[in-house]
Amino acid sequence: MDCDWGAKNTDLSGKYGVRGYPTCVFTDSEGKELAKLAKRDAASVIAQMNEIADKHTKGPAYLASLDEAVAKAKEDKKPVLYLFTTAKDDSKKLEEAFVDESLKDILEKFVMARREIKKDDEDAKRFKVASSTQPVIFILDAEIEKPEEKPLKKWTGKKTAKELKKDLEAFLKSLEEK
Amino acid sequence: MLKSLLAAVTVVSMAGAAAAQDGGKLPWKKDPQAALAEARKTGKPTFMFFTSEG
Repeated sequence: MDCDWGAKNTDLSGKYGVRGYPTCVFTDSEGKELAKLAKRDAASVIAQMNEIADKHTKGPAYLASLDEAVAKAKEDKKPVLYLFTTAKDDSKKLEEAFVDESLKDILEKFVMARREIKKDDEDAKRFKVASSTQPVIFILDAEIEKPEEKPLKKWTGKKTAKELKKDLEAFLKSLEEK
Repeated sequence: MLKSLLAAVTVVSMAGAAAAQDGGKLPWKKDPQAALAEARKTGKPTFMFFTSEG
């Protein structure tokens, strides 16, 4: 943010003890300072970003690809929940719903994966969602060949945390009854 | 690379770091309060870049 040598954004620069420019600060999702940027070469910046994202992101831990999710799901004997998102508001609302505390227990019954939809993305093409403008959730059986071709469930569009919980509970119940 | 950025805050995620690694642009937000509000809602940490144009 532009501080214009102390004339702008003084509330935040004061809060985070900014005494010179540039200064880079990591905070948690509540705005509490976690660390200053330790080193400025690109590899170190990326490493520190990844470390902070790993340790301090709330909500489910997502894997980044179908192959990773399937391998983990086989190991854990859980279904895969694969979330495809876009940069649009519906996706943001859905991502916010996944962070809701009320979903914490039920989401532990799934191996979670997430990917942002891009036209040339390999997984988006495998799931035929590469041109989707809405978020899409797939529930997959990791034990079958090409689970992307026979999803157990597919939901398109935003959902509230309450709706997600209801749908996931219904899905798990149907799985138990089989 | 970061010195040329004047925009304020990015919400840190693996995707953000991956974008940087690939030479892509970080999704900087120009409004720090809006970025902090988004961080609260999505449960993600933030990366704040304080600079001066002067």
